[in-house]
Amino acid sequence: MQRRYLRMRRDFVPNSSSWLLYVLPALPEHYWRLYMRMDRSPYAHLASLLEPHLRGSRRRTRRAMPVDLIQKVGLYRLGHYGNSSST
Amino acid sequence: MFFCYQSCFFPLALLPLLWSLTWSLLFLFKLFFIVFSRFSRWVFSGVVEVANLFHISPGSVNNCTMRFVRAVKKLRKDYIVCPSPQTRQDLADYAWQAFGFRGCIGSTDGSQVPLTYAPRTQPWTYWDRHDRYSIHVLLVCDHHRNIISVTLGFTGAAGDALVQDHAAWSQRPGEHFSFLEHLLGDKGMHYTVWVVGPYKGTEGESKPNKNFNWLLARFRVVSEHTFGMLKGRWASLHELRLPIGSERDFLRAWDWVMACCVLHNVCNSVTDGDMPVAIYTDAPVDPMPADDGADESRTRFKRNALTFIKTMGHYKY
Repeated sequence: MQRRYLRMRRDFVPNSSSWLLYVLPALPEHYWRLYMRMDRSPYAHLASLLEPHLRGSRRRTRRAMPVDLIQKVGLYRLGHYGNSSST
Repeated sequence: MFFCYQSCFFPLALLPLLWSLTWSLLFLFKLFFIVFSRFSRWVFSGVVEVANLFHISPGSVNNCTMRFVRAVKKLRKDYIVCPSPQTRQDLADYAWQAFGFRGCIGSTDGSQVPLTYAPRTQPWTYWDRHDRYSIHVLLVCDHHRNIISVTLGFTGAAGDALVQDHAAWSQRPGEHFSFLEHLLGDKGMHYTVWVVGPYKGTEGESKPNKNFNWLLARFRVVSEHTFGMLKGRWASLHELRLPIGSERDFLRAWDWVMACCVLHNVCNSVTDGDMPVAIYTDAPVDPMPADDGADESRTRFKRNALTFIKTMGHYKY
């Protein structure tokens, strides 16, 4: 019974889109900061600055990417995956 | 006419088949290489993890990142600007009242952004003195740790002094400095009328010069703080995971660094809290002969600084 965790596959745990929609906005401030590298108020300020530049034209074949998602992915990539400092 | 023996007739007949087979194999190999290189780029640059986290495809992660970087870069003209004459006057007043440097409007320093992967074209030009591939960044920051100028476009092999000579503020000082205004630099900078640095070698062993160096280091440390904050918050600058194989890739890395600098100023403008930082100081590099007027300029500022030390009683040595 105590070895049940060893039998589980641990290499890949897919996230769902609910994480982005519900979990991330509800995180405490310091956890939010770990992901986005800034507090919520600068994030909102940055969103207002970038909104006219990120609002793309909607393509016929696919939905336009949400501005909020683009900002989150961009901030996450700029703030992470350096050399062992992505805490 | 048929000149071949019967024994070699059959291999000759197979030549067209072999030819087409070779081309097919080459095509398959190339297709595999393209797919593998794109996939490995995603895997090794951490795109797959980000895609998993945000529940989008790796291609979308790349598209989102580059759209975001381009959008942030458009804010550069609003956030990375040379201070107005009035602002420069305020900065100079602060430097005079707090540290005794009359006319100092900021400090400058250079650093490297290491690359994870060796560039595919001319990699030796990216090899820096820390034994790694990198690109060079020269920052000018004011006393409040706001970045007021970024000079990019040089590889890590270039020294601070070389990049300084190509910086906009160095080439057109009239647009960036008023009379007697200057920046503080470290030993690796090129001393000019507009860049004042510490005394080097035996020159820095006398008591007044040591005091001057100590005061200058106290004030100039804001540039090291700025690099620490920049690399601490935007951790991708600790090691840039972008493959560089062409001029377009280099410009992409350039945009990436610029976006981080703009975001640093955006966060500073809304007084976002500091991240825990680690400061990396540069090792001394070979000195360059100073410009005409640099000695005179530094003597003038040293006189002011020593007067300040005498008035305030802040003796170090």
